[in-house]
Amino acid sequence: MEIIQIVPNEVALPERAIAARMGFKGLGSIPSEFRKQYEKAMSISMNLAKPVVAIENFVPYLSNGTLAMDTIEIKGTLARSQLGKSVEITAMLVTLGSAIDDKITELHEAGEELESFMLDAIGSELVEYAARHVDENLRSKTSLKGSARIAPGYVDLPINLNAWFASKFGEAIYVRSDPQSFTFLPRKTISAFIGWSN
Amino acid sequence: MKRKAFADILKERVLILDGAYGTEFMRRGFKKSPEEILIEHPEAIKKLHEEYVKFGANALLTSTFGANPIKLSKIGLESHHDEIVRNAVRIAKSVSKGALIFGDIGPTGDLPYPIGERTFDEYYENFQKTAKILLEEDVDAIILETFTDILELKAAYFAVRDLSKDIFLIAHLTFDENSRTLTGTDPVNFAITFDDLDVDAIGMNCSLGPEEMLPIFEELSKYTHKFLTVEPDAGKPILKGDVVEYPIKPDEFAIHMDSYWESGANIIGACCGSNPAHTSKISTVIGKRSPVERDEKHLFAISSPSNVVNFDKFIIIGERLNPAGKKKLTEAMRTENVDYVVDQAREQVEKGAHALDVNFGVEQTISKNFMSKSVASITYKTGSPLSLDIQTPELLEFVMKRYPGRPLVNSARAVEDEFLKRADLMKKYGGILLALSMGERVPENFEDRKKSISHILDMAESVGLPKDRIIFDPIVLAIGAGADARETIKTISYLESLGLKSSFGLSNVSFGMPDRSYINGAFLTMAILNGLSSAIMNPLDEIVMGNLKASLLLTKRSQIEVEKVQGTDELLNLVLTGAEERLLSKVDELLKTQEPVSVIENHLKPVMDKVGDLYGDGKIFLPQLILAAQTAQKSFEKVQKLIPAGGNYGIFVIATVKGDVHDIGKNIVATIVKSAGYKVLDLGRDVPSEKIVDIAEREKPMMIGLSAMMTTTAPRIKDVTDEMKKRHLQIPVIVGGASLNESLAKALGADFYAKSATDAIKYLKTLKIS
Repeated sequence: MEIIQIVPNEVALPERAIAARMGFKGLGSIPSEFRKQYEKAMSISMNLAKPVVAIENFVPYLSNGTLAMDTIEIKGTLARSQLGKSVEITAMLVTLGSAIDDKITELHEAGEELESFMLDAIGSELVEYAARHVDENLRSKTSLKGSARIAPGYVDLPINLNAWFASKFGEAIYVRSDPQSFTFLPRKTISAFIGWSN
Repeated sequence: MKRKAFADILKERVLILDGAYGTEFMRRGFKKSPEEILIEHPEAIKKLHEEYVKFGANALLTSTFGANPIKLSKIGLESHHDEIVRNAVRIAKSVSKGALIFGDIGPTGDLPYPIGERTFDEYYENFQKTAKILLEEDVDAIILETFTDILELKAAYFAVRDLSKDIFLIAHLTFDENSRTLTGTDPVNFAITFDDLDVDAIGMNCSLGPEEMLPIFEELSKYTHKFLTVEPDAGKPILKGDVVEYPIKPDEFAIHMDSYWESGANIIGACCGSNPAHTSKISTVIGKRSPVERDEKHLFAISSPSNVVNFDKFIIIGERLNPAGKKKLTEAMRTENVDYVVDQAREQVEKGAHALDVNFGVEQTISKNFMSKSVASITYKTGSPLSLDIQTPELLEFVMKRYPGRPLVNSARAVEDEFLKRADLMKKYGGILLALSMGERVPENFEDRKKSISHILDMAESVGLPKDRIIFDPIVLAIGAGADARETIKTISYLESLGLKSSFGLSNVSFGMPDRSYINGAFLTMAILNGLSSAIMNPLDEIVMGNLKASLLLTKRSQIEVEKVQGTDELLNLVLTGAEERLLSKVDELLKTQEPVSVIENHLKPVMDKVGDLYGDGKIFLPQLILAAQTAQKSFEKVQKLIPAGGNYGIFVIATVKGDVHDIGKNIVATIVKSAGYKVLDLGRDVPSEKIVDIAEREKPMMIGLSAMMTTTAPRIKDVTDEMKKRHLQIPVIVGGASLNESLAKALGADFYAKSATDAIKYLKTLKIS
């Protein structure tokens, strides 16, 4: 397992993505009326977010005809289409840490709902783009063909795979998952697989 | 002093204008107005002038701020008008020691029709009487100051300029903290409207201290190429016993003046609460400086008193204020029924028109009075700028002069005599001209249109009418009469290639044809693809409007933007701009005259209903909704505390279900429901079903809201609804979250599905408070 710390400012985080996440659909940027609050929320995010990635490569195998790696079976059409031909599968768990969650709650409780909402939106995009940052780095270093980055919970990739991510990597980067819903804590955490084929 | 000589001075150095008179006389123990003091104690006026000169003022205002006949009549002094104005100038001159004398003209204090009763002509006549005497007494400049309405200021401007082309003329508006005047004009609107006019300097004074006024002044300076003047107050007045005090002392005041100089101020003074000590400090800081060069922006925009419409986005100009083929409108114009005309205007604005074309049909049958009343009523009441589709030159001139903002003038052909006359009107009265790409004859093809465009550009250049004040009509002809619509499209494309704006009358294309909406819609799409800037069209036609919206999105000229939903609804403006403190002050004001329940029911709730509607209609975005809710919430809480037992506004219990930690959606809904006046019990996230039901059983809420983001947590909703059934609790449940939809919500036992953040309110309103 490799642990990679990422400097938040080094993540190329496009404003258009944040604007869209906040609901400014089609604008492509944060409107000037909200720029002040946005910049404040962005500054808080950059100070509080501690993006860290736990990453490990696995050799897949077939278990009773089902794709498997480590101790898990990866079922479903999404997994078959993206990971089926892989000679190696990368699993990654990315988190921003709990400080940003705490601040979102603190702002909400103080009645600063807009700031809380903006911080939440920035956090959601920051964790996504941190994963993308790692993803691009991996692709640039290999001659293998990379699949799409797929995450539990999307299409038919079972969300309970998050429990495996938490057990495998969680201790190293302070992430756990709810045993019933499989949501992660801290909340700004995402998991993903990338398959590598010849 | 000649106008040019004055302008030459301002190119070299910044001038220091004197300070307050009215408030300073009060401070010195006088109880009456400066005009009365001028009659009874002229030596006091003289002394204050002397002090201002001694402390560094390069220019003195005559004590004639209120010396116009309308205002003097309010204190019974109108018969002394001539004497007051003449003596005021003579006293100032007698002690000026080379300082320039600015003849001061203030507003009447009466609002214009339709907000008040005054007409442009009454203002004009009134101000001209004062201006005439000031000019006879040979003042160096005339300053129109402390005006709160753009039409009154325009009337004062014409009153002076019609008497003298050679007097240096300064026009000021007074802005509130919301960057608007009393009747809604913002500094950008002021700049674009007065930049077209033959005024030398524009600026602002009064009402705000230097810190509050600065951003408004900076905005003005970005959009005007006129000289700039400014006179802030010495802060907001504070009442101490019987004495009014202004908190900003000379040293502090002068520090702020540096920023005004940096923003391009050419004449700097001080208004209410200041005294010669302030002038002295300003003079010390700024007195010997040269002006800063500015780089102004030009806006291709038209305006009403409260709204600027910028042609950088596609502009819909409503076509329906035209009596052709409309019996009721024809009758309304015949009987001078202004209300009917305004209703027709409002309907178009509500359906998406940014501006309105107004055509009075057979103009000779319409009175000038009705025309000017209609124009004022539409612009003030709907906020929509107008396209003046008036063909009789004298009538057009009459209306242009009385237009409260910057109009679009429809239209002029590429016929020399006609175009040059229109160009003259444009230069004199301001506005943007819609120039038809046709000469005497109807164009047959693109080449004919191209020649007309070239001719117009040549004529405009010869008379100094800049291209950014002309929008070209590529001429739409009826395909039913054999015209080829593609020639119009070629013309639009050509105009786009020259960087010129275009606008056309859309409905002409389908004249005489069946299925007109489809033809109009398709043609508009083609035109937009080729760069059309604006169309005079029917905003009530849903097919055409649907085509328009889609075309703009597909061509990346989307109209999606943060709407400036501002206007005359002050409370709405305050919540949408997040002005929490000012909203609380406004609520305090309302509470002085109304019961708390009335403040909630008749003011706060309707405003939040409007905000909800704006969000539902896609006019505002989610962050605006959140900001508005957050802003209104404190006011609601404040008023509810004044109602015995907090009032009975119903309880809403909300929670994110067990296992789900995603609570941002739940938080937003809680804030919005609170802002609508309901009591919200927010149980937080990851809440066990039993806890939710226990609290519901105890508190008996009007409704329970449950949020579930994940497919794995959605079933917990059913745990709650099942438990409620078990306990025979008949409380409606509303659910929302990314994993849900209408049918899943029903399957999980919920009564309502919340698709958007405002749905909870929508359903709460349908329930009775138990």
